[in-house]
Amino acid sequence: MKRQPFEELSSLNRLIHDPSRLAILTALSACRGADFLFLQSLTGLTKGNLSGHLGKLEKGGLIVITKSFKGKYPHTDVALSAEGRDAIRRHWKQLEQLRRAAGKWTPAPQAKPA
Amino acid sequence: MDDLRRIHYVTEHFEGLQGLRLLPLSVPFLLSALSRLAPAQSASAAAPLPGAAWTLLIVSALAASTLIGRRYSRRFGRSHPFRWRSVLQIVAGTAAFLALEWVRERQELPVALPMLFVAVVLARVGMAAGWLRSHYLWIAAACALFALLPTLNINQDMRAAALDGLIGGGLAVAAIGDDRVLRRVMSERSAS
Repeated sequence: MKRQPFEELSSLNRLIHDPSRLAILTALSACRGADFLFLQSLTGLTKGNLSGHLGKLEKGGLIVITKSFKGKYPHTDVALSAEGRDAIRRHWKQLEQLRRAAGKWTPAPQAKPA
Repeated sequence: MDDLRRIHYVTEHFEGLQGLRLLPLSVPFLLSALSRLAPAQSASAAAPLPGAAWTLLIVSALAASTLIGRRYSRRFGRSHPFRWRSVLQIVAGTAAFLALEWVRERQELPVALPMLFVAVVLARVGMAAGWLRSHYLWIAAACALFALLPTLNINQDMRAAALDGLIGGGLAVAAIGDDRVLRRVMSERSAS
């Protein structure tokens, strides 16, 4: 039996589909990389929240984090890994397909009560 | 999804949205337009600002632009764009511009085709990402109007002044508009 579009939602990768992480990955997919401050300004996340999300994405192998010093100050650069770039591309494709399928969706007729 | 598209667009065009970097570059063109419009004295109308003044103004504008860029980096951070995309766009745009100028000269068309092309490109920028940079539509309209100037029997000096004014004014409008867009998007996200 064919799955309904809303059932397909459950097949989305939750590591990517969380709104904050999706915003981070979408931003990173539009460039070669970005620093921590840029991602924080763009997503509006607090430092702690952003660090937490970046940690999860790094653990999942989707991003690469490079820490260095600029003068006396620590500097964090973030970039998508090859796997991450592929994953976000697939995720966007899946979202587009779901959006199209949901647009065409009509509820199945319900059985009449006896 | 619209919000994500906006995030994608802002990241992709982050350097371009650092509008105030363009503002110093508008000054030489606006000064040139003003000096062309000033009552003619002995100076030639074709070169209203001396070459040394132009050079000084452009070098100062570039230096100021670099400093302003650093300020943006301190405020919003840095992203590393895909350079080859913008290089390809510049090469393709320049080629199209030159080809249209060649067509205009060859066909002796009264309408400035290259300027119409610039107007179309700027209008597309204005409509991108949900009309995020709608101020470009004003500049596009001004470019389209300028493209029609040759049909209105306006003399060469006035057209030269109008071109300088268009470039200077366009840079100023783009600078202020892009800066406002960037600040709005970044502060909107920070507030949410």
